[in-house]
Amino acid sequence: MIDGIDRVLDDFILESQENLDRLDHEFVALEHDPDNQELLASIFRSIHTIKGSAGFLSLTNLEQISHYAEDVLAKLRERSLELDDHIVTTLLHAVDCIKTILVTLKKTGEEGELDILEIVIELKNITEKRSLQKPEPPKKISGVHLIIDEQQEDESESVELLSETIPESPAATIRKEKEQKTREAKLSEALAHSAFVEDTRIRVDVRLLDQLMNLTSELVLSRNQVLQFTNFIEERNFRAVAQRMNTVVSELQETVMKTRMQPVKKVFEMFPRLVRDMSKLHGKDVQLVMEGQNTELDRTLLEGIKDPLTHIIRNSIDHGIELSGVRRERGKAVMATISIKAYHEGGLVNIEISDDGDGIDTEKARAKAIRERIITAQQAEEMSERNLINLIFRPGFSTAETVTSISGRGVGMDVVKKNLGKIGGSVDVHTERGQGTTFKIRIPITLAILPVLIIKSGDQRFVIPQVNLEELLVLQRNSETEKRIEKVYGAEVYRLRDELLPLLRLNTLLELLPQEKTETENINVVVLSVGEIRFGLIVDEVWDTEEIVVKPLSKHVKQVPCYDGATIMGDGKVALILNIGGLFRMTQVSLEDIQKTGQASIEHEEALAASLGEEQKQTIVLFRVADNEYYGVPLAFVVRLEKFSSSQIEYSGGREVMQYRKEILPLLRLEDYLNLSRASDPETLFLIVFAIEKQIGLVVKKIIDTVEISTHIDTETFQQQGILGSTIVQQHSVLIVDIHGLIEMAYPTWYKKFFVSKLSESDRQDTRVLLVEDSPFFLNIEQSYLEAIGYKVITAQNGQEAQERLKDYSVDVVVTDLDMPVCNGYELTQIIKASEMWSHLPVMALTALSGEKDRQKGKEAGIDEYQIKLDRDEVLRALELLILRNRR
Amino acid sequence: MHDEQHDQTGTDSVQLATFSLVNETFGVDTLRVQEILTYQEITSVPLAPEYVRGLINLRGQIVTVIDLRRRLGFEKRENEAVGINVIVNSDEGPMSLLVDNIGDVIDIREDRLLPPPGTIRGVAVHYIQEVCQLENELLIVLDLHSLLQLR
Repeated sequence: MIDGIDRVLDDFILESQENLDRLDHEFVALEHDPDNQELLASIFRSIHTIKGSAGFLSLTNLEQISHYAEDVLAKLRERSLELDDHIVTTLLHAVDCIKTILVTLKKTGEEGELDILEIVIELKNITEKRSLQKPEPPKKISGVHLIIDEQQEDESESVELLSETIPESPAATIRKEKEQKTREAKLSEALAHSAFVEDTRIRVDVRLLDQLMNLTSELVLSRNQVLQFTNFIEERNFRAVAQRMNTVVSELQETVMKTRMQPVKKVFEMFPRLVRDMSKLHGKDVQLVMEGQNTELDRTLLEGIKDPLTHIIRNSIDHGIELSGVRRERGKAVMATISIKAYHEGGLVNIEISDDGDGIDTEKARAKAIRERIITAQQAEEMSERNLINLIFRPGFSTAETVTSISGRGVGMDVVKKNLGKIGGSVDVHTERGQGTTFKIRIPITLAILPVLIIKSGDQRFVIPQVNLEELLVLQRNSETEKRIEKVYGAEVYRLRDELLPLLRLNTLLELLPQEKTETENINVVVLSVGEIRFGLIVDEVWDTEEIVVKPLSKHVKQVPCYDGATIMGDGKVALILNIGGLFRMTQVSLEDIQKTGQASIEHEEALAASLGEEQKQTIVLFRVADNEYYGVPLAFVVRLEKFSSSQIEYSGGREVMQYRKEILPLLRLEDYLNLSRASDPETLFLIVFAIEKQIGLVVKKIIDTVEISTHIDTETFQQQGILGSTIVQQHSVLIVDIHGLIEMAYPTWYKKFFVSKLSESDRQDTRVLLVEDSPFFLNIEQSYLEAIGYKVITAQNGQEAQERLKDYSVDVVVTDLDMPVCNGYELTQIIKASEMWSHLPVMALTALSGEKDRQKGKEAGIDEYQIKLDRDEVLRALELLILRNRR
Repeated sequence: MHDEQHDQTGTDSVQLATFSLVNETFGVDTLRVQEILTYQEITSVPLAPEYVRGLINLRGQIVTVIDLRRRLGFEKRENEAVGINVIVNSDEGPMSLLVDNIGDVIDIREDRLLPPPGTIRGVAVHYIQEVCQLENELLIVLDLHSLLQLR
């Protein structure tokens, strides 16, 4: 804290010193040109600044002098006072006093004992006197019409002053002269020291630094060219010189860049006070945590982030953070936390401002945006969560229900975004209802040097500012991933993590000739974002990231909206900088169309799911055994995926095995049991390892991917032992392998040998299990593993059917899914438990995922046991216990 | 150097740098010419107007190359990788005019410069300031201002 104040004081002294030096000139200029309002305004501002800062730092003497000087200047400005020699002299004296105080301040940290009364009175005199419209000869003023400010001076002083300023009193004159002298002495001391104050720093025009920077970049380019020569020239001395030059130039570049760099601390320092004041004002309890204060940033950019950051913090405290009472009720820490974190990443400075407040209410945002006519109700319906949150950046938007003095007036977040945009930055929001909000700001370290990604398209290099870069995707041509590219309204989109990403082809956009395709058969997608827009750009090649110097373009080129400038690359050639926003706007792609379609397709899937009861997804491992046959197996049963050499296969008792983790692993081939022709093995094979009682490996030709599939698979088309059913994955027909059935086919004694149970085999064979499940995928898997160890299984697809089965068959135990159409698992259980005939039946529920809430609900309905569907071992163990318990 | 020659020729005379495109001879005021460069590797600017051939690196400055053949409506060059850059000064810094061949620097008395005749072809007429009948050919003096203007 002491450090903070010291720094503030230092900055204040330095800044004031500069202001005062200028004031000297300006006053003199003003004397010659008294009507120059601009000059007067500038002087007024300088004094006003000093007054403000002095007040803030509780420097009362300084504050007083500047206050009264400001009064005089105000009168001058409104022309109720006319500038004359005396006023200028007095004002200059005031400036001198300020200087003296500053020097003392610099030396001792305190204002010192300089008697300011005289100058204050002189200034005050001018104001009061002249405003009465009674011009008098300047020399007389000070004495005759002396008015003392009673509030500030005590009486003895006033008397002394009165006597001192009586004009004709020789004694007073002498004393005055004497004082004048001491003052002059102090002044010259002040002037001598003023040089000391500025000793290690000089003001340099930023343009000069820019020029220096440009020249350095040129030097870097020449250096690069020289270095290329060293590869051809054997002369050792030349190499040594070139090396030396290399180091020096690199250092020079760094140093020149440093001249413009300042730590973000300079801005962050304001925040503790801001947070303290704001939280007091709102009666909230907030602590501030700051990290990475030494992260450096270009000076001009530092200036540019001040307002946006301040605004975000104010907003957090005002809207984000709840009142202490509310926090306590919600079980949150009463003391809210705002954390600000700055760090370098990918050549950019990232600043994250997080609060642990209430988060942004997207529903409220939606309603508000409609009410304020920022978007139509229809648009709002179709908006994604991300875009809803981004509404806060629209002009005229504010979610605060009440407008406070600080925020909520609808000016702010849009300005935050605009201001950051001006300095080449971007802002992103992540919010979680009830958990808090994080604003992530990304800004270039400097404007002169831009971190970029270099790409190539149509045999030409282009650079993409990294601030727009989100991620890079490589889609293998003719692979499953490529199939995720779909057409929507004639535009290409890619399904990236459940979001439809519009795809643009740079070659098409810029009418470039596509490059001759080489062995790299991949599609390179650069995922870019600018504001709310997010899209993927397909380019021929992705090169490296680099830092470049931005050069302007002539108007002939600038009229094309997709360029931001150009740069000279290491080899001396020119490359264009792509303007990502401009690029996107050039296309006819309407984001809304895409979102609409995305929404529609999601809704379609949801509707489909709803009509079929529950919508559950399961991950399968997708693999191939022959060239064009695709198979999948539920990931839940897989313990490991391996790549191995076909030479590792051995034979034992006529069966394929291999040594795997110091054990003998029996191997299975789909071809042997599904009547497929078996081609000779390639050198490398893949292995899917299962642990069903004991480890067993499935040998396949190629493992492609893991994909999520709907559990509503088709069980009609392919009815075959060892197959659960079929489904379509990425436009391929995929057969889902029943691994339990397959093992039984391959090793009929597998379960007899390895399954350990308290129930005898014949006990199991006498037990009838009613399995209720609407998803054919789960039904078949569960049926398969239950039957594999001997249980008799009767199936039903919903609670209604289950009741009918119960009437028809004698059943020992019920295993049911919970979410089912017609009659769900809870209802079924209630019916069973309420019935006289069936109430003795144990009921086990199977869910896709175990949730505590469901468990509670199930318990109330009378469910005896809970298990996860594909956790075969647990399901079997629990089932056995239920059966045993029921026998007693 | 320019000033010296200028003085010798007197005030009623202009000094023109001449160059050729196809079979025509053109001239621009030497005061506007910064330098002449042989062919440089040009980075093309996709989607830019056709007359913009691209960008070159002139000692660290990025210079737009205007292909005068295209600007004045001549047929394209067979070999695109030829041409000479006449670097001229403009409000926006140096610009390059890509021409076929560079000719002499000649002094022309101002009274020999005539307004363009009405017979001159379509596109070019906007860019012609004056013409001058030389011994064997017609010298066309280009209006750099309108040449470098967006159209």
